[in-house]
Amino acid sequence: MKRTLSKARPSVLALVTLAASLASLAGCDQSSQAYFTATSAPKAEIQRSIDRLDASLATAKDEQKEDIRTSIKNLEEELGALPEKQRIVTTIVDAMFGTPDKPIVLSATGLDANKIRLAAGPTTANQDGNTGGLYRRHCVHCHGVAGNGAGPTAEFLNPYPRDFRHGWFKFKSTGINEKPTDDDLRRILREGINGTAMPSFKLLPAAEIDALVEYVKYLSIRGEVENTLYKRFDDDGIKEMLAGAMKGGEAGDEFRALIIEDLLSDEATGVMATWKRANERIVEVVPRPEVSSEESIQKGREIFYGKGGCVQCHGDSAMGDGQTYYVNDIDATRSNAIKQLVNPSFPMQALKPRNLRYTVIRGPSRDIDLYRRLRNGIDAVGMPAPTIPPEEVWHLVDYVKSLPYEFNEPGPTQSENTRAN
Amino acid sequence: MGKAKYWSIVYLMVPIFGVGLFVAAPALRMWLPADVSEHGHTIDHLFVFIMYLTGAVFVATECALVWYLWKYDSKSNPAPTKFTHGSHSLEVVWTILPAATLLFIAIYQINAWADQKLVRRAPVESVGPDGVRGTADDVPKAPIAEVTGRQFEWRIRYPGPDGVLHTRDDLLDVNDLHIPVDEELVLVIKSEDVLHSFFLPNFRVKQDVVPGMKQKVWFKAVKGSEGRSYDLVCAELCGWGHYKMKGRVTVDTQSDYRAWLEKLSFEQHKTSEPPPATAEEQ
Amino acid sequence: MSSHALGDHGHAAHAHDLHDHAAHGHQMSFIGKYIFSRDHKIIGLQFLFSTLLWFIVGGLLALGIRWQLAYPWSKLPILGDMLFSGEAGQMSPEFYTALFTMHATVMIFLVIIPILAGAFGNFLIPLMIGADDMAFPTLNMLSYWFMWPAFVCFGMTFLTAGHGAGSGWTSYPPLSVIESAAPASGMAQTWWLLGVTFVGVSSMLGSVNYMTTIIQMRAPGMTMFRMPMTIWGMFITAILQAFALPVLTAAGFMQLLDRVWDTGFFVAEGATANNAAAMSGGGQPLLWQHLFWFYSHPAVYIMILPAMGMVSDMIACFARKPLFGYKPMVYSISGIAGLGFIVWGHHMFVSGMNPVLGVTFMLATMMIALPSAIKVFNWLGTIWGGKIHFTTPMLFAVAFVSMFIIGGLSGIYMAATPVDIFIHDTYFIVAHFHYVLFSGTAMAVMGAIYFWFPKMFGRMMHDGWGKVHFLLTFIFLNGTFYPMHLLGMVGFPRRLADPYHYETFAHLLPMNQFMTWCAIGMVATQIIFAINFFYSMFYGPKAGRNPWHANGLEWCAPSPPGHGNFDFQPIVYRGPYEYGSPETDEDYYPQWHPPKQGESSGGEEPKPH
Repeated sequence: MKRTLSKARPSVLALVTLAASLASLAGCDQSSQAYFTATSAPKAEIQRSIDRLDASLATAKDEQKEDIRTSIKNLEEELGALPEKQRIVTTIVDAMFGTPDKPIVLSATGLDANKIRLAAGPTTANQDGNTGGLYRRHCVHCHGVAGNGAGPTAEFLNPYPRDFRHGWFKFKSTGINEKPTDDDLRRILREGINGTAMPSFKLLPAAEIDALVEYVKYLSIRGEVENTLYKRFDDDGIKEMLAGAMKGGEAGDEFRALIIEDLLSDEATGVMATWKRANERIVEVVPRPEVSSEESIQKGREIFYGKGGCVQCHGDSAMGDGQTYYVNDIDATRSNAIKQLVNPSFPMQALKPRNLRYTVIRGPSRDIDLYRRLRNGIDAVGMPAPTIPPEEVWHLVDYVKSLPYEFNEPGPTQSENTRAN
Repeated sequence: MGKAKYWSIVYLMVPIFGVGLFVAAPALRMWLPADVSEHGHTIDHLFVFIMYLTGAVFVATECALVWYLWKYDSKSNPAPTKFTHGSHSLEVVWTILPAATLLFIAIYQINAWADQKLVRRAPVESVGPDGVRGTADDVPKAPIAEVTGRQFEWRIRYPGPDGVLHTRDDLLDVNDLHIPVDEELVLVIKSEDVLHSFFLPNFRVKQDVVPGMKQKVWFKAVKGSEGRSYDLVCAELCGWGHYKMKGRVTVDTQSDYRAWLEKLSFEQHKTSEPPPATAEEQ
Repeated sequence: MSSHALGDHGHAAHAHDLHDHAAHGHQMSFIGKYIFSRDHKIIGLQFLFSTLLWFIVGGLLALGIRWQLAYPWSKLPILGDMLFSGEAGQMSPEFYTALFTMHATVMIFLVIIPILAGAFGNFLIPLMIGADDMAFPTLNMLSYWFMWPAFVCFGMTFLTAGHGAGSGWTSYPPLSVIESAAPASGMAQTWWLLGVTFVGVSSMLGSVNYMTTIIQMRAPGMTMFRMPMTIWGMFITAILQAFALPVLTAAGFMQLLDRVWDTGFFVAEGATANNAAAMSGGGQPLLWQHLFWFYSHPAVYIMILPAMGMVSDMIACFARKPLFGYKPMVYSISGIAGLGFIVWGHHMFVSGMNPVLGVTFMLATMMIALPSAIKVFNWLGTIWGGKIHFTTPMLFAVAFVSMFIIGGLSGIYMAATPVDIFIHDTYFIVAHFHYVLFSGTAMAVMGAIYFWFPKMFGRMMHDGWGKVHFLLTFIFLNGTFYPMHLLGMVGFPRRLADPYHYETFAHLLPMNQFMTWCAIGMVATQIIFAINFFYSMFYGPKAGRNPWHANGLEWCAPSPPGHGNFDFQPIVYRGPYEYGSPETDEDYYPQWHPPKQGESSGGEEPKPH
């Protein structure tokens, strides 16, 4: 008997379809507690060094090759030891600082546990407005749950978001290598950083902004302790302390207390030392010189093109077309700080001097902010301070402020497609 | 037998709950948000007018549907099929009636649209684009501020003492727009990067901002709204942080508004700050 | 009692004896039969299965959106830890933009359009007009296989940064053009544009084929005004596609060029975002909107006209009464098609387009409501005075009418330009198009599956479970979509990952949670449908040729029809809606029955040619 084509047809199609759909429902697992993600930065950094050395082998002279091979071998050993190092450091730092859901606020940090509690943990939503988990509601997408500047959205931003763990901040009232004051952090949260992806959170209630400031400090301190542990891992005293702290119970407590004493509270080298002195390191603002604004701008122009040295980077046109650096290039001859700014696994980004003709100035732009920036330079990104007397900085401020409008005559307005009645 | 017709009850739920939910909506605080603009009531009026009109049609058609389903169930209604292919006169009636209604709505609303998007009222005393104060009827009023959308915030620029935008004395702020009460005012809105939409729910204002174009919006905050703040919403998808673009419009009395501008100016130009020691201890 | 009473199982036996005239001669391989088939029915079923699979994907994407709106920033179930460990399992905001973008894209381009035109159009057109296949079978096969590159392209978007394209299904520049404007504006957007292009090619091939087939291949006696409304819907849809699609395709290529070669059709001079190097630009972002909506507004009708046609057929069949006002119905869908080309600007009232143009578009838009109203009145007229059988397809068809009234009426709010200023881009719009597309078209499609399932697979779907499926879907869909009107009245904007930090909208959270649970219920309900569908395909009762005692030509073919469709040459003697005609004793009078014969059953074997 001849089978009509139609007979088997639907079932075959159906089976194929069903199989396909079942295959798409592959397994899934979930854990309930959130953890700070293990830092991948050291690993990526070491790996990248190895890759570069590998690449350089091809062009190196024969006598150099042996050295390079030794370096590679050492680095590979370091890479091999990293997981164990990471395990120990992570365990100890977690024991000291808790998890993102349940942060521990050490009294040595001087942070306010209530504020931290408001900012930490999962976002809680209710119809009266949200009251908990502020960090994860507003910040985590870019800055990451560990504050490492590597949230899911981070990679796509230009410039990359701040990695709090290094304790470096750009826009502050204090000097180079100093920590920002609470007011500085608050201002950044309120005003945002114009010209970057950091938006303004001005409309959040003051208490929420304070809580977030506190949490940023918490993440920063935590990260700095973590970094210090990595750096000093092989130091004699530290090694014993770490081994002791890995023990459970009271025996371990003693060593943990030692770590806090040594790494956090120590007045000279402790992580808290710089945080505690921030308020005393605010840069003094001298009074404005008594000159007309036109005159001041003229003087500023002379400094800009002369002894200030601004043109080197910002260019003759002041459009930021002088010199360009790459933030993420670890071979760059910049300071170590630059290397550490972002996750090395991100693609490199050009560190461009600002186009000063553009009406947007990056960061807070009150006169007083510009004064401090031009007086100090910008920490961590390599903008140096011009070597000029403090009162002349005001001229530079006035000149920079006038740049966007220098050639901007308010001309006749275009006619509009509206009619008044 | 004959129970099948109870299926029509399912469809009866549509007009019952449909109307019921709208009746309950104000109690659920789900109604048009408070209107504090001068022109907003025309939009609200139109909305409510259309709501009653469509509501009536909705109830009538849904009820007819349910009634026919109920009545002409094959199991319980022995009457034979009314064999007809239609009715020319009925078709004419239900073509002309809705057509007339729709045309009426169309014409009825044109003025409201023109008022908000086409005809900008000149104030009694106005500052022209040349900066000259005057009372000429055909001089559109100068904008009181420029609002620039960028990913993901609203940058605000007041013209400063000289009343002209993009000069050195401009005052800058972000997300926090202040406007004077009871004054017909104009805002320039534009975009620095992608599309955004300037949406003030309480003022019934919405205008997309398009990079490369300068849009203007105008409205008037009514008396009684001073001292309050209203949301400024971005209503056009502008990227991953679209939801973050929250701004605020605060309506001030004339004196408060001037004080606000002065405060902005003071902040921008001050040369010293009190030490933060006290803030640290709070 | 179930609708099986209507069914006529007596013919199951006949089907075996039928000599499938086209099958002999070529013993086709598996691939020839099922994969690269040129038989319109196989292609239709391929479309059906593919689109139903994507329907699941689209539904799950919707649940992702609803989850975020109900429990913002809480851990995403199942996927959270896998995708977002960097932020403790909560979804990233760009993933949210990808969710709604891909939900709309999948539902529109991979479900609604292909399930109407591709699945039902392919399966029904030759059967309903009495042709043995499409005019261009190879073209037809290609129209399905051009969907696969599209599937791959859209699938690829999920594997790129941000897990999907995220500029909205409208893909407005500059967001979609400037690559660094958002994570999802990178490769994902390029894949998306390619995907849309392939869908367009597929639709275009289908559309040419449908027009040719309907014009050229009708059976003897099948005049244009004897065609069922389904065919009219498909015909007008094909015309709409043929004229509107080239514009979208061209616009898509322009956007692609903008992205790849910086041509700058759609971006202004100096366009930049996220500190990217400025583009030379010189174009206009609004140009894209004009071109996009010039296609996508007619596309709205592409997504509803065939559904309207199928609903007309189902309602007439189960009301056992001729369709009320057949010709006005035809004229009104033609009117919709004509007006559909001049209303695109109503998507752009607040876009920055010249407000004077807004008035013109407003008038045209008001007028396009008219044919829709006429259609609703005619459906009511059809039900009036009939003998209604509450079968599952009928319940869905009536649900279409009931829901389309809501979707149609809410459109008037948007057509009113001043009101649109307030409700544009709010949930009022979301409510409106979900009432038209889900509560409307998807209801019609589900009804159509129940209705034509016996023709497709030769077996009946279970009517009782069908009714359970209907009832739950109907309740949950209204629970999900109706409150959106209220949200829209408050001004609740679309596409916001976290609307609740606006004071105006904070109190809407509980309502959103309610809607989310309804949405979850709605998706879960479809499991009933899936089980019923696959179970019935193998174990359902045999259907016979004409289980519903319907009049259309497709019901005189065997179930399922073999290659070549008909085992005799059908000749059409009358229109498709002669139910309850006084000329016969039966309550139906099939198109293929010669007049003045004392016949006793619609299933009677017609004379072989």
